[in-house]
Amino acid sequence: MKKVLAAAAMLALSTGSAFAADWKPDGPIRLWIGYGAGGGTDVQARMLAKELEQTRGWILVPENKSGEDGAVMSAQLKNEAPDGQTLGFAITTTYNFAPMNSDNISPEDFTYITTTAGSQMAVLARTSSGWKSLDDVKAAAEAGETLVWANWGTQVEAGAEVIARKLGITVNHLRTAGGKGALNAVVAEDANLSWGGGVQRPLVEAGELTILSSAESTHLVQAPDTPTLKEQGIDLDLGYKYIIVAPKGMSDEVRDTIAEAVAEILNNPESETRKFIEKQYPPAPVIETGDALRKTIIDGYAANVEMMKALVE
Amino acid sequence: MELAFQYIGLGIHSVFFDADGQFWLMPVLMVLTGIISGIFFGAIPGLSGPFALALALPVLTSVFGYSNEALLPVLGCLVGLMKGATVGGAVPAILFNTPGTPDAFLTTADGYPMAQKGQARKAIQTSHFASVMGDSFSDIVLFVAAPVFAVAVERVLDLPEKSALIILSLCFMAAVVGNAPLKGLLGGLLGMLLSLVGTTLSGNGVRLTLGLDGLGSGVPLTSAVLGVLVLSEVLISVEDMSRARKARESLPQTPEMGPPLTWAERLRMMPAILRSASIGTVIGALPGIGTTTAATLSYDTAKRLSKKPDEFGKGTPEGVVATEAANSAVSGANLIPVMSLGIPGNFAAVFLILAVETIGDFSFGPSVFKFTEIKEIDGYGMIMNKDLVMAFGLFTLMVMGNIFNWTFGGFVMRFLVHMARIPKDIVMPLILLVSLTAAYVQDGGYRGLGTALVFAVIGYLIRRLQVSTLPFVIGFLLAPALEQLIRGAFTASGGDALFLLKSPIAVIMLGLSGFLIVRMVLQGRQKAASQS
Repeated sequence: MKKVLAAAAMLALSTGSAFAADWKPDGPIRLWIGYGAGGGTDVQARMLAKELEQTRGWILVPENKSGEDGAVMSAQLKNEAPDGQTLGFAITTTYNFAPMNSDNISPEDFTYITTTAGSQMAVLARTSSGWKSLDDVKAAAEAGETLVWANWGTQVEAGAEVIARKLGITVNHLRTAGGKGALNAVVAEDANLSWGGGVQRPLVEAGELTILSSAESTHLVQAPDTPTLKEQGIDLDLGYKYIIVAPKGMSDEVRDTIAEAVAEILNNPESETRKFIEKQYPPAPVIETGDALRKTIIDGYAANVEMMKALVE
Repeated sequence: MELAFQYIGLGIHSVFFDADGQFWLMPVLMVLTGIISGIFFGAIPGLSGPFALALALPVLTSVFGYSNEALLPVLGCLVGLMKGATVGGAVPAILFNTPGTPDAFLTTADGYPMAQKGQARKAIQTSHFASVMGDSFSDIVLFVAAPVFAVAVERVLDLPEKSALIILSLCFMAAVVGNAPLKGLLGGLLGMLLSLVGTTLSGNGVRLTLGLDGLGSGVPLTSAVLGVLVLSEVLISVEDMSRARKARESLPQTPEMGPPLTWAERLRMMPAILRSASIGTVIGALPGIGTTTAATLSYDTAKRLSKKPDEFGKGTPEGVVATEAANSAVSGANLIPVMSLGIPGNFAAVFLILAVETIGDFSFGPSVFKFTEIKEIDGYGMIMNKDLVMAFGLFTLMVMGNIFNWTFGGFVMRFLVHMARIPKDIVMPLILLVSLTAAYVQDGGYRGLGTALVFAVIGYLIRRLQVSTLPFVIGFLLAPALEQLIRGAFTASGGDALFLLKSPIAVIMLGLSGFLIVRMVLQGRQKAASQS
């Protein structure tokens, strides 16, 4: 009897101490990236995977499943077991906007683990166009110039349309593959205007592109004096965050263990992932986790549904 | 001009130093590996350059990964394979009258008689010399022409014109490849149809996935190309072998090697090499025509201009020079449309494009050759057009490849005598194993395997119908780019239904495409009429 009690006590002890930090993956973790190879999402995800291997000894196998703003990857992810062995890496837009255009996914289908970084969303034009602000764009349109706006997704295209209507001008849209495609289009003069989520930084520094407006709720690190859209009377915040997700139903223990492991890397000033984020998505990593993150996504989805309704009316 | 030299310097630097500034020899070693294995591959009858590239790409990505740093080593190896295979193909052609690669078919005409006359060594060295010279010549043309062409294209061509240009190249390719242009065109259309599976840029969800979530990102590229090109060839070979099982012939004895080629003889070949290399370069720069046409044209020209035309076909070095310089010159020039427009002209180019699509954020096209000013920015680092550095890095690797081909190539060729003796029934199962493993690893397990098998059957049927698989593969690869351009041109025009017909350049290109299609139909009818 004593033995049984002792064993029970041991068991209780061991499970007791097995709070957040003791979950371990059972074999390799599949990390599905919602965007194509070589983009900002892909680079970040692969760096993080490598550092998780170094710090925790977990084995991560990244795989790109691009398409439809991360929705292609998410549609496959939602059918996997929420045991931490399959994770997705995408952006918040994938969950707070893309489900509107997809019969396959809804924001309720996922467990949101943690964000890693935030965008530096900007409205861009070629410096050679001479435009410095949205007013210049308006003036050019009124002078008869045809405007083409490069967009990488439905959400930003809707955003471009909202801006155009607010300015009382017409823009034509050009859909590109990913953020890099949008930049290429404006550099190659296939478009006059483009969005940039962070990858625009070197081209802006080089003087090739000019930031006309911030599309975040705050000023951009790279253009601290350029106003936000809201400050110009356009109620639009297109900022997004990079996010790690899992299928719904993941236990809090697994969710928090993974979030902690990621946070440990992102908070380490020596980490490669952190250095990359500081450079590309300044000033620093953005970490939002658990139930708070879930609420942000669900609320964001509701707000986006409203934006699209307003646009249709 | 100074900026151009700065970029060239950075390109060369990127080959020898990795992103952290550490000295590394990996890209150069991979070029060497590529050259040597390419020569071996080329020398085995039944295996050609594209075969080697198809098998190497998945192996290379699993070794080097998908980051930008993987690009130079992987591209280096592929370029080496491409260059090596062209050289190696000539050896069995000369020694045993069996061309190692289709490019070397005409080399048998004079190379084999030369060997029979006891001049095997001289024939092999002539072929090696002409081949490397032709290759180097066309590389130089590439280095100059690609940037100039790209800058011109970017300045002149807008979205509608770029769309029209892709349509024109697809029609042109179908018209010149193989002897059944209409079937080629249909093959190209089939390839385009299959590439429509998966994601669109419309934002309205995926299409044609048959409800399979796994097809949401489209048909996995590498597995599909492995299936069409490599597995279908294995199927054909197995079938042929089972039919001809009893008639397996043994290869003849290695002929007398004879005296080596002298430097004076090499010098005398130079004018002929230049002429043949020019022909090869011009043909190579046009998508779809390929090495066989270049070699034939060059051979006929050499024969016509020769003082002793009767000796052609009886073992004259002039004949070997004409075919080898021309077919090798195709490989460099073929990269002109690839690098400046992203349009592949032959199978080797297809694999280079596949490599840059799967690895890193580099892609071919006019924007590669934009000379952005190089600046140092506080807290960020250097600002420059990294793609241009990459392009010059690739050029550097090609030069390295030519140097290796010059030096080690000739040495390796001496060992090839035995390669042509490896029987197909050993090679084919090995290839099958490697390519199925590659498809499984590269494209997410059974999804990749399934794709490879389905595309193997498609490739088998296309080949059995006596149609080239090239238009199919290129249609498959180019359709997404074409769709993106056409959609873009349409929406950017504000939804104008006549968006493709608003610019004279686009109208001319579409008119030419229409003319080519009409011509193909008429030719097809004539052929049918003459047969009945």
